[in-house]
Amino acid sequence: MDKELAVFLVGLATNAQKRAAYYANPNRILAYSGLSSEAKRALLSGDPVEIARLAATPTGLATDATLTKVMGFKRRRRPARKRPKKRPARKKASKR
Amino acid sequence: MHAGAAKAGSLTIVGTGISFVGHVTIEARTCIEQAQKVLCLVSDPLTVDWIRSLNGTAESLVDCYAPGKPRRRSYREMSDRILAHVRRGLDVVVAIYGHPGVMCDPAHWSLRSARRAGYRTLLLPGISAEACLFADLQIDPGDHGSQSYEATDFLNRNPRIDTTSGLVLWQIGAIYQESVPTAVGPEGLAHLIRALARRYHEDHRVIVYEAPTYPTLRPKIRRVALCRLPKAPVSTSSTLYVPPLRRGRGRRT
Repeated sequence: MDKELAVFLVGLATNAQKRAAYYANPNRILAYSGLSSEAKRALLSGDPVEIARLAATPTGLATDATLTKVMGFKRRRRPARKRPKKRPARKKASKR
Repeated sequence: MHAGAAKAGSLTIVGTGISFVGHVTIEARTCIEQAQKVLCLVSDPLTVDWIRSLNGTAESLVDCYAPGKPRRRSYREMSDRILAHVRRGLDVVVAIYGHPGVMCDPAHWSLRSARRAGYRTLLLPGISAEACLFADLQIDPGDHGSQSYEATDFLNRNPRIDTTSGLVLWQIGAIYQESVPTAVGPEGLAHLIRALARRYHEDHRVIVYEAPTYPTLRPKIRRVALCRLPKAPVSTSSTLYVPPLRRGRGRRT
């Protein structure tokens, strides 16, 4: 799995300026991208299968920690379900 | 708003669009993040990775497909797996590529079953291949009208069409293929050409279109005369757009 390639693709998908710059001159952007030569070749080939082969995990089942690091997104923690508060035990009224 | 009566467990189906990450709406992304269980049916493994980065419960339904296995059986399995999680009382989100309500049996089957069982259901729109086609070809379907058919269904039902409106034919690379297509079936394409040639002139120019799946890619747009369609680069992801004829130029059937 080429982490840098995955991050690069997420960057292009979510940043219109980056995308426009890439469309204007892909070779220039790739030259400064720090991507491996294999990743650059895949991007320039325009072959989606090759891009996926390099960028994705082989099984699509990487650990959460890896993915968070790779994709640059912090997974938002799901708010814990509110549980009803336990009522304090009532003191037994003393029978008189 | 969810339709149906309140019951523990719900089913929301969202679209992830065609292009990696960029087509996911804020609404769909929020649903994925907040779900108690996420299932996904997307076309590329990188999107699966991305969905898992949003919600660690995500699992892919792609393993329901198998070479030679009828698609309808795969869809039934997907629907059953989705329903099983809803019945556990979980708020389930299913992320499906494109528009999840368009040409997607497992989405509609699972929604219908969940709704009948009294669970809350919601279907959120996504960007479909057809939406990409209208954008990339810069066509306004409101100008002449638009008709849209899945290619195999078009051949099987032989519907009456208006040749002065545009015609969108989906999945032209998977005609008559019962299982998940791995290669274009040339016989199906030949049938399609014959069917279209009864309605349009053979030199009528049609467009073979493929939406880009990654932000680095450009749409594949190939304009060819109808009779030359077999020589056009058709893939299993191709859509065919047949532009409207000028009035009076159509072939009467």
